[in-house]
Amino acid sequence: MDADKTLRTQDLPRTGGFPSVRYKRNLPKKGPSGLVLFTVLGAISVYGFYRVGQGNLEKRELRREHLWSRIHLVPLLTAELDRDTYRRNCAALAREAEIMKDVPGWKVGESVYNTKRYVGPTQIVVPEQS
Amino acid sequence: MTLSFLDSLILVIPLLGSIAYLTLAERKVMGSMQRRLGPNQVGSYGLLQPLSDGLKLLVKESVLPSQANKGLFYLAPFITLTLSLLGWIPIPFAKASPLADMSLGLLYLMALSSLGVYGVLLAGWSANSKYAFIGSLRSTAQLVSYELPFALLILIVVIIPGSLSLSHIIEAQEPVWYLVPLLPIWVLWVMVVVAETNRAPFDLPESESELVAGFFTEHSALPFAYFFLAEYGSMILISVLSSILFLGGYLLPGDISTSPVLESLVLGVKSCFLLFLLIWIRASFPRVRFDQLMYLCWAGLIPILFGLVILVPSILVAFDILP
Repeated sequence: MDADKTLRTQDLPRTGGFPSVRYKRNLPKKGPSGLVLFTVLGAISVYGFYRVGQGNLEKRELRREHLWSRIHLVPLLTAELDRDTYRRNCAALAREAEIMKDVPGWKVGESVYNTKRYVGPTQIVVPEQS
Repeated sequence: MTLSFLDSLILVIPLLGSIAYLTLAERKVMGSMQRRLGPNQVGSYGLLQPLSDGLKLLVKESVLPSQANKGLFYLAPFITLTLSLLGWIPIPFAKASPLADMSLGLLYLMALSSLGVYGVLLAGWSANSKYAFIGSLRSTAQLVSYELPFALLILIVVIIPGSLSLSHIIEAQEPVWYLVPLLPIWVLWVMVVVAETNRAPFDLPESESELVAGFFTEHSALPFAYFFLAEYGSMILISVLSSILFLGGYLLPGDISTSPVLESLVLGVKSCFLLFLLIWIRASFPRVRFDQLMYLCWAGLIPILFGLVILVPSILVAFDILP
C-alpha cells in the first residue's frame, strides 16, 4: 500500500507555483529621453534660424542702402561729368586756337560739318581712371 | 583668377604632406582607442612612418596582372588622384584666397565627386580579377547612391545663403554657423560623408574579409599609392567642405578681427576635428551589410531629405527671412 501511494504522487510544481521567468531585456535607460532630445534640438534649431533670419534681414538692408546710395549719387556724378566735359571742351578750343593761330581765316570752334543742324560731339570725354 | 603652376604647387605639396600624416594620425588615434601603441618604431613616436611607407611603395615592383587592360589599369589611379586634387581649386582658406573663386564652386565640387566614380569603375574592370570587379561594382553602386543624399544636403545648405559660391556661404555664416539651425541635418551629413568617402562602417568596397581590398586589389606599389592618396585626400577635402558648409569655414565665433594666417589656422583646426570624428567613427562602429547600406540610403536618408528640402525653404519663406 505504501509503495502504491508513492507511485500515485504526481510530480507537481511546488506549493505557490514557480516564479515567472524574467525573459524581457532589462537594459538600463541611459541618457535623456527622446522628448527631451527632440525639444533641445528643436530649440537649438529655432535659435539658429532666428539668427539666420537676423543676418539675412541685415544683408537685405545693406543691399537696399547700397542701391539707394548709388541712386542718390547719380545727380552729383552727372553734374561732375558735365563740369568736366565743359572744362575739357574749353581746353580743346584753346589748344586749337594756339595751334591754328598762323592760319588766316581760321575760325576756332567752327563746325566741320556742312550743315546748320546741331551735330553732337563725336568724341566722348571720360575722366581718367585713377 | 590666376591659376599658375606655382599656386598649384603651393597647394598640392602641403596637401600631400597632410595626407601622409593623416594616415599616421589615423593609426595612432585608432591605436590609442584600442589600447595599442600604434606605429612607434620609425623615428620618434613613429613620426617618420609615413615617409617610410611612401618610400616602400615607391621602390616596390608594380605587378601587372596577366590579361589586364594595361592602359586603363594604369590610367585609373591617375584619374582618381587627379580628380581628388582638382577639388581643392575653389576652397577658400582665408578671405579671398581660393585658387579660383568660382561663383558655382559647390556645383563644381559635386560634378567632380560624380566623376570620381570613373576611376573606381575602370580600376575594377581593367584588372581582370573577380575581387576587384565585385569591389568596384559595390563601390560604384554606393557612390552613385550616396550622391543623391549628398546633393540634397548641399541643396539644403545652399538655400539659406542663396549662393553656390563657397566664399559667400562662409560670409553668410557670420551671424551664426549653419551647424546651429541645421543641427539635425548635420547628423545626416556625417553619415553621408562617411559613405561618400568609403570609410568604415560603410567601407563595403574594401571589406577585407570578403573582397581582399576592393577595387584596387590588383594594384600594387605606385598605382596603389595613388589610390591611397586619393582616398585620404578626398577625406581631407570633404572635412574642409563640411567645416565650410556647417562650421563657418575660416570664421571665428563673434566679431573677432582675424588675419589670413589665423583664418587658415581656424579652418585647419575645424577640419582636424572633423577628421578625428571620421577616425573615431571608424574605430567605434562595426561594418554594416551591403543591403543595410542601400536600405539606409534609398529608404532612410532620401525620403527624409526630400522632406527637409521642402521644410527649410518653407521656414525661410514663412518668416520672410529669405536672403
